[in-house]
Amino acid sequence: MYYFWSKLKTMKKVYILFLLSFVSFVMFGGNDPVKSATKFSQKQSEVNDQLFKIQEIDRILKEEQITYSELAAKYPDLVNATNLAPTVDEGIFEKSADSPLGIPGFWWGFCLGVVGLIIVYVSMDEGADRKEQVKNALIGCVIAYGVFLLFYLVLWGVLFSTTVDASTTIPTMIAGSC
Amino acid sequence: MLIFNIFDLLIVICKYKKMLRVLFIKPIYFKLIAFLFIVSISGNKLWSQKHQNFEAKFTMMERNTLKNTSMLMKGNVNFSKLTNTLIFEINFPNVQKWIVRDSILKKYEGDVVISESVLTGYQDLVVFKELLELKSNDFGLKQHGFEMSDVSSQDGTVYVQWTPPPSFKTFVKYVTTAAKDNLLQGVIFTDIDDKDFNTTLFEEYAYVDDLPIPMKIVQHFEAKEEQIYKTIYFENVQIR
Repeated sequence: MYYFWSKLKTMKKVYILFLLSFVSFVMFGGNDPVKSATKFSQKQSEVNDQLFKIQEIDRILKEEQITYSELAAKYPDLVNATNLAPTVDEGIFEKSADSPLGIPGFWWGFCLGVVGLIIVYVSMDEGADRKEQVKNALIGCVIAYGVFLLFYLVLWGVLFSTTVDASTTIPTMIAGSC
Repeated sequence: MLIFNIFDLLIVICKYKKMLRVLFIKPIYFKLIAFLFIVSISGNKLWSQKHQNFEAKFTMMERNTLKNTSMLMKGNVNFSKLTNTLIFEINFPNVQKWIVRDSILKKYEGDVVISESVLTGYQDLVVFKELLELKSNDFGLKQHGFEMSDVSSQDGTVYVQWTPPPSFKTFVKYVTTAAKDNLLQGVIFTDIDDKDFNTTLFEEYAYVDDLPIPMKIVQHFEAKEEQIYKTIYFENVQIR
Protein backbone atom coordinates (compact mmCIF):
# COMPACT_ATOMS: atom_id res chain seq x y z
CA MET A 1 0.00 0.00 0.00
CA TYR A 2 2.81 2.35 0.96
CA TYR A 3 4.67 1.41 -2.23
CA PHE A 4 1.56 2.23 -4.30
CA TRP A 5 1.08 5.55 -2.52
CA SER A 6 4.70 6.64 -3.00
CA LYS A 7 4.54 5.61 -6.67
CA LEU A 8 1.43 7.72 -7.13
CA LYS A 9 3.14 10.72 -5.51
CA THR A 10 6.11 10.30 -7.84
CA MET A 11 3.82 10.12 -10.87
CA LYS A 12 2.01 13.19 -9.64
CA LYS A 13 5.32 15.05 -9.54
CA VAL A 14 6.11 13.87 -13.04
CA TYR A 15 2.72 15.06 -14.27
CA ILE A 16 3.15 18.47 -12.64
CA LEU A 17 6.63 18.78 -14.09
CA PHE A 18 5.33 17.82 -17.51
CA LEU A 19 2.47 20.31 -17.24
CA LEU A 20 4.81 23.10 -16.19
CA SER A 21 7.17 22.29 -19.04
CA PHE A 22 4.31 22.33 -21.50
CA VAL A 23 2.97 25.65 -20.23
CA SER A 24 6.42 27.25 -20.33
CA PHE A 25 6.97 25.89 -23.86
CA VAL A 26 3.68 27.34 -25.04
CA MET A 27 4.32 30.64 -23.31
CA PHE A 28 7.98 31.18 -24.15
CA GLY A 29 9.31 28.66 -26.60
CA GLY A 30 6.53 27.65 -28.96
CA ASN A 31 4.95 29.37 -31.91
CA ASP A 32 2.54 31.74 -30.22
CA PRO A 33 -0.45 32.08 -32.58
CA VAL A 34 -1.30 35.57 -31.31
CA LYS A 35 2.26 36.69 -31.95
CA SER A 36 2.23 35.13 -35.43
CA ALA A 37 -1.14 36.68 -36.27
CA THR A 38 0.09 40.08 -35.09
CA LYS A 39 3.24 39.73 -37.16
CA PHE A 40 1.28 38.99 -40.33
CA SER A 41 -1.22 41.80 -39.78
CA GLN A 42 1.55 44.27 -38.91
CA LYS A 43 3.36 43.45 -42.14
CA GLN A 44 0.15 43.97 -44.06
CA SER A 45 -0.42 47.40 -42.50
CA GLU A 46 3.22 48.38 -42.96
CA VAL A 47 3.13 47.67 -46.71
CA ASN A 48 -0.24 49.42 -47.06
CA ASP A 49 1.09 52.50 -45.26
CA GLN A 50 4.20 52.64 -47.43
CA LEU A 51 2.19 52.31 -50.63
CA PHE A 52 -0.61 54.64 -49.60
CA LYS A 53 0.36 57.46 -51.98
CA ILE A 54 0.90 55.08 -54.89
CA GLN A 55 -2.55 53.63 -54.19
CA GLU A 56 -3.85 57.19 -54.48
CA ILE A 57 -2.10 57.59 -57.86
CA ASP A 58 -3.58 54.29 -59.00
CA ARG A 59 -7.05 55.50 -58.01
CA ILE A 60 -6.54 58.68 -60.05
CA LEU A 61 -5.36 56.67 -63.05
CA LYS A 62 -8.43 54.45 -62.86
CA GLU A 63 -10.77 57.40 -62.63
CA GLU A 64 -9.15 59.74 -65.13
CA GLN A 65 -7.43 57.34 -67.56
CA ILE A 66 -4.41 59.61 -68.00
CA THR A 67 -0.80 59.07 -69.08
CA TYR A 68 2.30 59.58 -66.96
CA SER A 69 3.04 63.02 -68.41
CA GLU A 70 -0.56 64.14 -67.84
CA LEU A 71 -0.40 62.81 -64.31
CA ALA A 72 2.90 64.64 -63.67
CA ALA A 73 1.43 67.87 -65.02
CA LYS A 74 -1.84 67.64 -63.13
CA TYR A 75 -0.60 66.19 -59.84
CA PRO A 76 3.07 67.29 -59.56
CA ASP A 77 3.08 67.18 -55.77
CA LEU A 78 1.95 63.59 -55.68
CA VAL A 79 4.41 62.49 -58.37
CA ASN A 80 7.28 64.33 -56.70
CA ALA A 81 6.38 63.09 -53.23
CA THR A 82 6.50 59.49 -54.39
CA ASN A 83 9.38 60.08 -56.84
CA LEU A 84 7.40 57.95 -59.26
CA ALA A 85 9.46 56.43 -62.07
CA PRO A 86 8.48 57.75 -65.52
CA THR A 87 9.44 54.53 -67.26
CA VAL A 88 9.35 50.88 -66.38
CA ASP A 89 13.06 50.34 -65.99
CA GLU A 90 15.69 52.99 -66.45
CA GLY A 91 18.64 51.26 -64.85
CA ILE A 92 21.75 53.36 -64.43
CA PHE A 93 20.37 56.15 -66.61
CA GLU A 94 17.75 57.12 -64.08
CA LYS A 95 17.94 60.51 -62.49
CA SER A 96 17.14 61.48 -58.98
CA ALA A 97 14.62 64.18 -58.09
CA ASP A 98 17.44 66.61 -57.41
CA SER A 99 19.99 65.54 -60.00
CA PRO A 100 22.04 68.56 -61.11
CA LEU A 101 20.15 70.33 -63.95
CA GLY A 102 17.85 67.30 -64.09
CA ILE A 103 20.54 65.33 -65.90
CA PRO A 104 21.16 61.78 -64.67
CA GLY A 105 24.43 61.20 -62.82
CA PHE A 106 25.60 58.73 -65.47
CA TRP A 107 25.79 61.42 -68.15
CA TRP A 108 27.62 63.84 -65.84
CA GLY A 109 30.29 61.21 -65.32
CA PHE A 110 30.35 60.16 -68.95
CA CYS A 111 30.70 63.68 -70.40
CA LEU A 112 32.78 65.43 -67.77
CA GLY A 113 34.61 62.54 -66.17
CA VAL A 114 35.88 63.16 -62.64
CA VAL A 115 34.69 66.78 -62.81
CA GLY A 116 31.14 65.56 -63.52
CA LEU A 117 31.40 63.15 -60.63
CA ILE A 118 32.45 66.00 -58.32
CA ILE A 119 29.60 68.21 -59.61
CA VAL A 120 27.07 65.47 -58.79
CA TYR A 121 28.62 64.93 -55.38
CA VAL A 122 28.77 68.62 -54.43
CA SER A 123 25.41 69.72 -55.83
CA MET A 124 23.27 67.01 -54.27
CA ASP A 125 22.19 66.70 -50.68
CA GLU A 126 23.63 63.89 -48.65
CA GLY A 127 21.60 60.69 -48.74
CA ALA A 128 20.78 57.57 -50.66
CA ASP A 129 19.98 59.50 -53.83
CA ARG A 130 23.35 61.18 -53.91
CA LYS A 131 25.08 57.88 -53.29
CA GLU A 132 23.18 56.30 -56.19
CA GLN A 133 23.81 59.19 -58.59
CA VAL A 134 27.50 59.42 -57.70
CA LYS A 135 27.76 55.69 -58.31
CA ASN A 136 26.09 56.15 -61.71
CA ALA A 137 28.42 59.06 -62.45
CA LEU A 138 31.36 56.84 -61.60
CA ILE A 139 30.08 54.18 -63.99
CA GLY A 140 29.69 56.87 -66.67
CA CYS A 141 33.18 58.13 -65.92
CA VAL A 142 34.73 54.66 -66.17
CA ILE A 143 32.86 53.91 -69.40
CA ALA A 144 33.97 57.26 -70.88
CA TYR A 145 37.60 56.59 -69.98
CA GLY A 146 37.27 53.06 -71.34
CA VAL A 147 35.94 54.39 -74.63
CA PHE A 148 38.70 57.02 -74.74
CA LEU A 149 41.38 54.43 -73.98
CA LEU A 150 40.02 52.13 -76.66
CA PHE A 151 39.96 54.98 -79.16
CA TYR A 152 43.52 55.98 -78.16
CA LEU A 153 44.81 52.41 -78.53
CA VAL A 154 43.14 51.96 -81.90
CA LEU A 155 44.52 55.31 -83.06
CA TRP A 156 48.06 54.47 -81.96
CA GLY A 157 47.67 51.00 -83.39
CA VAL A 158 46.87 52.50 -86.77
CA LEU A 159 49.69 55.05 -86.52
CA PHE A 160 52.19 52.40 -85.41
CA SER A 161 51.31 50.08 -88.25
CA THR A 162 51.71 53.02 -90.68
CA THR A 163 55.14 53.81 -89.20
CA VAL A 164 56.25 50.20 -89.54
CA ASP A 165 55.11 50.19 -93.14
CA ALA A 166 56.95 53.45 -93.74
CA SER A 167 60.13 52.15 -92.15
CA THR A 168 60.08 49.13 -94.38
CA THR A 169 59.37 51.19 -97.47
CA ILE A 170 61.62 54.21 -96.96
CA PRO A 171 64.99 52.41 -96.97
CA THR A 172 64.13 50.89 -100.31
CA MET A 173 63.20 54.31 -101.60
CA ILE A 174 66.36 55.77 -100.14
CA ALA A 175 68.35 52.93 -101.54
CA GLY A 176 66.65 53.50 -104.91
CA SER A 177 67.38 57.21 -104.88
CA CYS A 178 70.94 56.58 -103.93
CA MET B 1 18.35 18.78 -63.03
CA LEU B 2 18.84 21.90 -61.08
CA ILE B 3 15.51 23.34 -60.17
CA PHE B 4 15.60 27.05 -59.53
CA ASN B 5 13.09 27.85 -56.85
CA ILE B 6 12.19 30.38 -54.23
CA PHE B 7 15.10 29.36 -52.05
CA ASP B 8 17.63 29.79 -54.79
CA LEU B 9 16.03 33.15 -55.39
CA LEU B 10 16.48 34.02 -51.74
CA ILE B 11 20.13 33.05 -51.91
CA VAL B 12 20.47 35.29 -54.94
CA ILE B 13 18.77 38.09 -53.02
CA CYS B 14 20.98 37.68 -50.00
CA LYS B 15 24.33 37.08 -51.63
CA TYR B 16 24.54 38.20 -55.24
CA LYS B 17 22.76 41.47 -54.75
CA LYS B 18 25.37 42.54 -52.25
CA MET B 19 28.14 41.33 -54.54
CA LEU B 20 26.71 43.21 -57.51
CA ARG B 21 26.61 46.37 -55.49
CA VAL B 22 30.22 45.99 -54.49
CA LEU B 23 31.06 45.73 -58.16
CA PHE B 24 29.03 48.91 -58.84
CA ILE B 25 26.67 46.99 -61.09
CA LYS B 26 23.06 47.89 -60.55
CA PRO B 27 21.12 44.65 -60.23
CA ILE B 28 18.36 45.85 -62.54
CA TYR B 29 17.30 42.37 -63.48
CA PHE B 30 16.87 41.27 -59.91
CA LYS B 31 13.62 43.18 -59.52
CA LEU B 32 12.44 41.99 -62.89
CA ILE B 33 13.09 38.35 -62.10
CA ALA B 34 11.44 38.72 -58.72
CA PHE B 35 8.43 40.32 -60.36
CA LEU B 36 8.18 37.66 -63.04
CA PHE B 37 8.43 35.04 -60.33
CA ILE B 38 5.63 36.55 -58.29
CA VAL B 39 3.40 36.80 -61.33
CA SER B 40 4.32 33.24 -62.18
CA ILE B 41 3.28 32.02 -58.75
CA SER B 42 -0.28 33.01 -59.48
CA GLY B 43 -0.35 30.89 -62.55
CA ASN B 44 1.37 27.89 -61.09
CA LYS B 45 -1.76 25.89 -60.60
CA LEU B 46 -2.38 25.75 -64.29
CA TRP B 47 -0.06 22.85 -64.69
CA SER B 48 -1.60 20.62 -62.14
CA GLN B 49 -5.05 21.27 -63.58
CA LYS B 50 -4.10 20.88 -67.23
CA HIS B 51 -4.97 24.43 -68.12
CA GLN B 52 -3.06 26.06 -70.90
CA ASN B 53 -3.34 29.79 -70.50
CA PHE B 54 -3.38 32.38 -67.76
CA GLU B 55 -4.42 35.92 -68.55
CA ALA B 56 -5.02 38.86 -66.26
CA LYS B 57 -4.83 42.58 -65.84
CA PHE B 58 -2.20 43.50 -63.30
CA THR B 59 -1.16 46.50 -61.26
CA MET B 60 2.16 46.48 -59.50
CA MET B 61 3.26 49.13 -57.06
CA GLU B 62 6.64 49.27 -55.44
CA ARG B 63 8.49 51.54 -53.08
CA ASN B 64 12.19 51.49 -52.31
CA THR B 65 13.07 53.31 -49.10
CA LEU B 66 16.80 53.56 -49.73
CA LYS B 67 16.49 55.17 -53.14
CA ASN B 68 13.27 56.93 -52.16
CA THR B 69 11.73 55.84 -55.44
CA SER B 70 8.35 54.42 -56.37
CA MET B 71 7.08 52.52 -59.33
CA LEU B 72 3.61 51.92 -60.60
CA MET B 73 3.19 49.52 -63.46
CA LYS B 74 -0.08 48.54 -65.07
CA GLY B 75 -0.94 46.25 -67.94
CA ASN B 76 -1.89 42.76 -68.97
CA VAL B 77 -0.04 39.53 -68.43
CA ASN B 78 -0.47 36.39 -70.43
CA PHE B 79 1.23 33.09 -69.87
CA SER B 80 0.88 30.34 -72.41
CA LYS B 81 1.95 26.84 -71.54
CA LEU B 82 1.78 25.72 -75.15
CA THR B 83 4.35 28.23 -76.34
CA ASN B 84 6.02 28.60 -72.94
CA THR B 85 5.77 32.35 -73.38
CA LEU B 86 5.16 35.06 -70.87
CA ILE B 87 3.87 38.31 -72.34
CA PHE B 88 3.48 41.61 -70.54
CA GLU B 89 1.62 44.39 -72.27
CA ILE B 90 2.49 47.38 -70.15
CA ASN B 91 0.44 50.53 -70.56
CA PHE B 92 1.70 52.58 -67.62
CA PRO B 93 4.02 54.45 -67.01
CA ASN B 94 5.02 53.96 -70.66
CA VAL B 95 3.69 51.63 -73.31
CA GLN B 96 5.91 48.62 -73.77
CA LYS B 97 5.55 44.97 -74.56
CA TRP B 98 7.78 42.40 -72.92
CA ILE B 99 8.01 38.92 -74.27
CA VAL B 100 9.86 36.28 -72.28
CA ARG B 101 10.57 33.05 -74.09
CA ASP B 102 13.35 30.54 -73.37
CA SER B 103 14.82 32.96 -70.80
CA ILE B 104 15.21 35.71 -73.43
CA LEU B 105 13.45 38.95 -72.60
CA LYS B 106 12.63 41.14 -75.56
CA LYS B 107 11.24 44.60 -74.95
CA TYR B 108 9.18 46.20 -77.69
CA GLU B 109 7.96 49.72 -78.29
CA GLY B 110 5.39 49.31 -81.02
CA ASP B 111 6.85 46.70 -83.34
CA VAL B 112 10.43 47.72 -82.69
CA VAL B 113 12.63 45.69 -80.36
CA ILE B 114 14.25 48.19 -78.03
CA SER B 115 16.23 45.72 -75.99
CA GLU B 116 16.98 42.08 -75.74
CA SER B 117 18.52 40.39 -72.75
CA VAL B 118 19.00 37.03 -71.15
CA LEU B 119 17.35 36.52 -67.82
CA THR B 120 19.78 34.23 -66.07
CA GLY B 121 17.96 31.67 -64.04
CA TYR B 122 14.56 32.53 -65.41
CA GLN B 123 14.24 29.43 -67.53
CA ASP B 124 14.75 27.35 -64.45
CA LEU B 125 12.39 29.61 -62.63
CA VAL B 126 9.67 28.72 -65.10
CA VAL B 127 9.86 25.22 -63.70
CA PHE B 128 7.28 26.52 -61.28
CA LYS B 129 4.96 24.11 -63.02
CA GLU B 130 6.60 21.45 -60.90
CA LEU B 131 6.19 23.47 -57.77
CA LEU B 132 2.78 23.55 -56.24
CA GLU B 133 3.56 25.70 -53.26
CA LEU B 134 0.17 27.25 -52.99
CA LYS B 135 -1.57 23.95 -53.38
CA SER B 136 0.53 22.28 -50.72
CA ASN B 137 0.08 25.28 -48.41
CA ASP B 138 3.66 25.11 -47.25
CA PHE B 139 5.32 27.16 -50.02
CA GLY B 140 7.30 24.07 -50.98
CA LEU B 141 9.17 24.18 -47.66
CA LYS B 142 8.74 20.50 -46.82
CA GLN B 143 9.89 19.48 -50.26
CA HIS B 144 13.08 21.47 -49.74
CA GLY B 145 14.06 19.95 -46.44
CA PHE B 146 12.42 22.34 -44.00
CA GLU B 147 11.06 20.64 -40.91
CA MET B 148 7.87 21.56 -39.14
CA SER B 149 8.85 22.64 -35.65
CA ASP B 150 5.59 23.98 -34.31
CA VAL B 151 1.93 24.28 -35.21
CA SER B 152 -0.65 26.58 -33.66
CA SER B 153 -3.93 28.11 -34.70
CA GLN B 154 -6.08 31.11 -34.06
CA ASP B 155 -9.41 32.14 -35.56
CA GLY B 156 -9.23 29.38 -38.14
CA THR B 157 -5.75 30.32 -39.34
CA VAL B 158 -3.08 27.69 -38.90
CA TYR B 159 0.44 28.99 -38.23
CA VAL B 160 3.33 26.65 -38.85
CA GLN B 161 6.91 27.33 -37.90
CA TRP B 162 9.57 25.63 -40.00
CA THR B 163 13.24 25.13 -39.23
CA PRO B 164 15.56 25.18 -42.23
CA PRO B 165 17.89 22.47 -43.48
CA PRO B 166 21.63 23.04 -42.78
CA SER B 167 22.23 24.76 -46.14
CA PHE B 168 19.87 27.60 -45.19
CA LYS B 169 20.83 27.88 -41.54
CA THR B 170 23.50 30.47 -42.29
CA PHE B 171 20.85 33.07 -43.06
CA VAL B 172 17.40 31.64 -42.24
CA LYS B 173 16.51 31.03 -38.61
CA TYR B 174 12.96 29.91 -39.24
CA VAL B 175 10.02 30.37 -41.57
CA THR B 176 6.44 30.95 -40.56
CA THR B 177 3.51 30.10 -42.82
CA ALA B 178 -0.14 30.96 -42.33
CA ALA B 179 -2.97 29.04 -43.98
CA LYS B 180 -6.71 29.41 -43.75
CA ASP B 181 -9.36 27.20 -45.34
CA ASN B 182 -6.53 25.18 -46.86
CA LEU B 183 -5.19 28.24 -48.68
CA LEU B 184 -1.79 29.74 -48.07
CA GLN B 185 -2.20 33.23 -46.62
CA GLY B 186 1.40 34.19 -46.16
CA VAL B 187 4.97 33.27 -45.48
CA ILE B 188 7.59 35.10 -43.42
CA PHE B 189 11.31 34.34 -43.55
CA THR B 190 13.18 35.29 -40.38
CA ASP B 191 16.95 35.56 -40.43
CA ILE B 192 19.48 34.58 -37.78
CA ASP B 193 19.22 38.06 -36.23
CA ASP B 194 15.46 37.60 -35.76
CA LYS B 195 14.72 40.06 -38.57
CA ASP B 196 11.83 39.21 -40.88
CA PHE B 197 13.69 39.78 -44.11
CA ASN B 198 11.08 38.57 -46.55
CA THR B 199 7.33 38.51 -46.22
CA THR B 200 4.85 37.48 -48.88
CA LEU B 201 1.11 37.60 -48.27
CA PHE B 202 -1.50 36.06 -50.54
CA GLU B 203 -4.79 37.84 -50.17
CA GLU B 204 -8.27 38.18 -51.64
CA TYR B 205 -8.51 34.71 -53.11
CA ALA B 206 -11.01 34.35 -55.90
CA TYR B 207 -12.06 31.14 -57.57
CA VAL B 208 -11.47 31.21 -61.29
CA ASP B 209 -12.51 28.06 -63.08
CA ASP B 210 -12.52 26.34 -59.67
CA LEU B 211 -8.95 27.41 -59.01
CA PRO B 212 -8.15 29.65 -56.04
CA ILE B 213 -6.15 32.63 -57.28
CA PRO B 214 -4.76 35.28 -54.89
CA MET B 215 -5.90 38.56 -56.43
CA LYS B 216 -3.54 40.53 -54.22
CA ILE B 217 0.06 39.63 -53.43
CA VAL B 218 1.85 41.76 -50.86
CA GLN B 219 5.59 41.64 -50.41
CA HIS B 220 8.08 43.21 -48.07
CA PHE B 221 11.78 42.69 -48.52
CA GLU B 222 14.16 44.07 -45.93
CA ALA B 223 17.87 44.21 -46.71
CA LYS B 224 20.66 45.73 -44.63
CA GLU B 225 20.09 49.22 -45.99
CA GLU B 226 16.96 49.20 -48.08
CA GLN B 227 13.40 48.07 -47.74
CA ILE B 228 11.24 47.21 -50.71
CA TYR B 229 7.47 47.23 -50.38
CA LYS B 230 5.48 45.74 -53.20
CA THR B 231 1.88 44.92 -53.97
CA ILE B 232 0.50 43.23 -57.06
CA TYR B 233 -3.17 43.21 -57.91
CA PHE B 234 -4.82 41.00 -60.48
CA GLU B 235 -8.11 41.67 -62.19
CA ASN B 236 -10.13 39.90 -64.86
CA VAL B 237 -8.26 36.67 -64.42
CA GLN B 238 -8.99 34.17 -67.14
CA ILE B 239 -7.78 30.62 -67.15
CA ARG B 240 -8.29 28.47 -70.19
